[in-house]
Amino acid sequence: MNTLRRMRHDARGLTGGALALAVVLLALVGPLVAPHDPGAFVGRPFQSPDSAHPLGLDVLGRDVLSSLLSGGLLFLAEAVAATIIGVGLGVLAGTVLATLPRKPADIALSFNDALIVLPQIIIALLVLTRLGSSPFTLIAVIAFAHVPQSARVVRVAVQRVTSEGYFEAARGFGARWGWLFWREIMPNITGVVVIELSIRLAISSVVLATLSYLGFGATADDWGSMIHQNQGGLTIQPLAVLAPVAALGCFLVGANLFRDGLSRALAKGA
Amino acid sequence: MHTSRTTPSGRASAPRRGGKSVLALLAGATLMLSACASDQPSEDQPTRLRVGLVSLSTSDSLDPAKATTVGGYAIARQLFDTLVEYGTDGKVTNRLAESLEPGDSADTWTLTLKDAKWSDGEDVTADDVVYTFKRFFDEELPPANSLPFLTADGVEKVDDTTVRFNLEYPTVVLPDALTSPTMAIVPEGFDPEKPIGSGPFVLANHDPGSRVSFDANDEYFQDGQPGVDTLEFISFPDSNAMVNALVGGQIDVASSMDPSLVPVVEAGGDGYKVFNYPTSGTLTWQMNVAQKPFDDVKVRQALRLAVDRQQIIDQVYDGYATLGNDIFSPFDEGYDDGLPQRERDIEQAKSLLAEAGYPDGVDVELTAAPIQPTADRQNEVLVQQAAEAGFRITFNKVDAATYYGDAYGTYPLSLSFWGQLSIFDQAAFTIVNDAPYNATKWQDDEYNSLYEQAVRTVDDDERIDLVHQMQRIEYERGAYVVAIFVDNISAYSAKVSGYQPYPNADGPSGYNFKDMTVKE
Amino acid sequence: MTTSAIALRRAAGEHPIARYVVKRLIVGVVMLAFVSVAIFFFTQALPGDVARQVLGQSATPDQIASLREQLGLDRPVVVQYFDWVGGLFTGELGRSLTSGLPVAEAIAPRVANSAVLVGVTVAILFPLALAMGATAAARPRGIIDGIVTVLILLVIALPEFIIAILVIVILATNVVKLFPPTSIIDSSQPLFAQTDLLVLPVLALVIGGLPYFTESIRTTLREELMSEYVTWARLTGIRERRVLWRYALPNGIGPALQVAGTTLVYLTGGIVAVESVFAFPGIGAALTAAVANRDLPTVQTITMLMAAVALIIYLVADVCGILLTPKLRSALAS
Repeated sequence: MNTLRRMRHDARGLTGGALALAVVLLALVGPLVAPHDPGAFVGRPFQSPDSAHPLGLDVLGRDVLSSLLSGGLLFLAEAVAATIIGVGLGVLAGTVLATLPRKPADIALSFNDALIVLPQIIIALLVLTRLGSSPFTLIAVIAFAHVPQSARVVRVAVQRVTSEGYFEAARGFGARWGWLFWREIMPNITGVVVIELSIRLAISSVVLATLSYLGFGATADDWGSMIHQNQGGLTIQPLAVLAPVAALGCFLVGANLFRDGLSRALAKGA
Repeated sequence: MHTSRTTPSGRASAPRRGGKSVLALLAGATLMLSACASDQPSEDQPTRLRVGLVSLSTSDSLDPAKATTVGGYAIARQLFDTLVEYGTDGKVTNRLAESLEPGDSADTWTLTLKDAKWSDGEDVTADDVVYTFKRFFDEELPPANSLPFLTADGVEKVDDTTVRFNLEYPTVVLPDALTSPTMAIVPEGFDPEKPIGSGPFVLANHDPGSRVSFDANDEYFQDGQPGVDTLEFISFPDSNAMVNALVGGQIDVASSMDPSLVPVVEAGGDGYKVFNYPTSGTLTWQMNVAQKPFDDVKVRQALRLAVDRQQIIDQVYDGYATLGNDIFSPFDEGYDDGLPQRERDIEQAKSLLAEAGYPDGVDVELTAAPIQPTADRQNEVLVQQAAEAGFRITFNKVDAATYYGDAYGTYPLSLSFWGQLSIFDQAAFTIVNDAPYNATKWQDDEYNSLYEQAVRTVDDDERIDLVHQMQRIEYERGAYVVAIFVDNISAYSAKVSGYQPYPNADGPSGYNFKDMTVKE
Repeated sequence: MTTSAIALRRAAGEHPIARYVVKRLIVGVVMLAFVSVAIFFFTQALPGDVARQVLGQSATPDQIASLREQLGLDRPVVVQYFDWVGGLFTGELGRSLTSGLPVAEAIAPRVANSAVLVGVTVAILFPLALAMGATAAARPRGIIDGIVTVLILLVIALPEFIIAILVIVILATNVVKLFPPTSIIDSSQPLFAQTDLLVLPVLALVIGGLPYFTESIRTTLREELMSEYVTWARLTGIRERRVLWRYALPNGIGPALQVAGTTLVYLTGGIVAVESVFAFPGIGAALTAAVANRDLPTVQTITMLMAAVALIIYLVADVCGILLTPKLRSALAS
């Protein structure tokens, strides 16, 4: 909480936070204010913007503005879910890596590094080909890609905690692992985890968009499928692709600025 | 990389102009490196046609009988000739055949050959034709499946240019069956590693999955063809990149492109022409009658009524498609265009669903792969249109290998591409008794016996009457939704001319690049 | 494997850095073994198979069965695995199930194309990022620092494939037609005769990779510039430029190399999307085609290759980092 208070005067961080929040709000409220049914065919494919359709029409002649407003929630929800699950598992794995005895820890760390070495985009392509693309499988493959990376980062942070005297003391008193984890470890790595979350959120969004572009997105109508379906028309009706990209971009820029602010605030607090 | 014999690319008959652009000069230079044309006068550049295809594959076969891919078909059409082909009017016309005529009862057919040569200079003879067909049966190659009325012993040489086909039963479908590029005639002792053919081009270089180049066949039997000295196939993963390459001047033809990209070509300036023509190809929905709910003819008719065909043409194809009426092969002489065009009728669809026991609508899973650029979009539009009639369709998108995998034929509802076949071939492949690719499982005794009768009927009027009866059954209780027939759309650089429609043949202008010429 | 590992360890003797390298190598081999199992069994689990893909829609069950037998697909999976792993050691990588060519021969030109693409990208990206990062670190709030900040903000929000598409629209098709929009490399011609085909994909990859790399260099150097020994060096009157190049940079090289390694690995992955946009005949395109065709030997070989390359890059980055960083070198030696 002190960290947030320190951020109060950080204009850049706050602007970023506001920007990201605005995109989230747009995604949340969007479906309610969309001028058209996002699935309705209202004109010719790739029709240019006019007063009724300020962002023009997409490859099937649907209103881009309505799709933009309606398609954000699912996209952001998938990105957020993949990030929370991936970083969450990474925190657990990182904690285990940091607290295991040395030999098993070395083996486990090698195993973790092997996962990092796996070309993630290829794994994603294989898994999605095997299981089919759905919001569930997309979240799963992206989350999986985060785990070993986050585990590495968290391991270092946890090691810093466990090497402190008070931790050794608590452990010496025979404190339980659950208690140690929630009372001693988590509060001291919150900063690292928050930054990791924001980095991973950006990566989740980019990977989600890239998988959609490569045709591995789910069939649901969201920003990812907008980018995928309308890419061919980029030269004649660029807004059909650039609108979701811009929304995503605002979200990422905002999240990055906010994260930087957070890092500065944390650094000052330390 | 397979490299075959190359022949000199300079041909006295081909019109040539001096290249103007740097690209053309570069092209000329590379050609001279690859062909043995160093003695050519430098101002006399060979003409070349660069064709974009979506997509070549590493499984493209140089053996026409084993061709199953876009690339395999496209290559077969350059290196070889079939006896007959579907011409520019969509009807069977002669290619290597001088004539192919039935006897009185259509159980024997007599073929006479044109005066043609193989690319190594030898004559194309009756022995080669007999060899080609015997090979189908002896090696159990895929074309044998399409010739159920023929055996290896039924192909008989009469003299050097005459072959007799003695069929197992009288049938008029022989010429249609022989139009497929897989039926191309190969020389005796054919070796796919060094593919010698009679076709308009000879193979120069094959980089599997990315590029194939050809030189003109100097021995080609059709005068003035091919119209260019060299031909090149360049593979693109999708239509977007291919259209970019056309606009960027890297290729001369963007073949069989996605209709939504036509405005992109038009926005590229006036250096390009879009050429489209209607075909018999269709992305058709297959309703599986072995499962609920499509076991009930009322549900099948309800889905056919729920589809807004014109809307699919407008939104998915931007106008580049024609109306379908739930029967195949619009260019076949037996196609019944007297059947009333099915129009969308939501009320009737709903009441049919209710009669079938689904008053509150029905859940259906649609399984499909992006086998054509428009496939996903066509499915999405169906999901929306059918929802209004009470079909709650979930669209399960898989990749093509998964789609055609072991689960093929078990999907309740699926989308496949068919066409470029006669009514009889289409029925033999997808409808009648034991049709090998009948994903609908629909069987109709009356239809089957009409088919057996029609196939053996030589009299045109009588046969067409039987075919009309078959199509009425399909129209009333069949299991395919034939909503639209796609146009073939290709975009050409303005310097290319000579392309023609081949509405019943697979590929851009039936892959007949021999017709085209290039003027720098 | 273990005996040779022991021999290696002996040969390495007690030299700390050699010992470290050997240890990393052994771990690397074990990691690759694990990766190979994962890749093999995962690709085997893909639905549909190559027999159907090769024979097409019109294949009969008999034809499919006989092709499966011919390709050895009817053998137990475990047998196929050991066959394949054995092949990895002997260089017998099997044949592509679709083209029938040896996998190594079939993918070699693709690997070469991608290697050139990444190589040229790195040759431009690394010096550029180093220069920009160092300048930005040396003059906080200067012009370069500002440009870097804005650039990072803008580009980080754009996925690479969008950058690639925009590059095509601006430089190849719609705004100006300076460069060819697709990279349709002709394998029968030498690559250096077709360098114009490389311009746009390299540009897209450089733009995509620049922000992260530059930012990392800037951050690392800034930390070094604020460290005690730099402050001490400044106090003794050493000029700022010399402080940067002689003191901060050498100690910043280790972390910078780590970042370079990560960037490189990220590039090898990122080319999948970029190659797709440009129709570039590289390893990414070969891989997606092989997955689509269920050409499993090709999929497995490419995946293993990319994993091995990633492993080597990380290893080299780590070892060079240690060798080049005064602080770490002394830490390891003691």
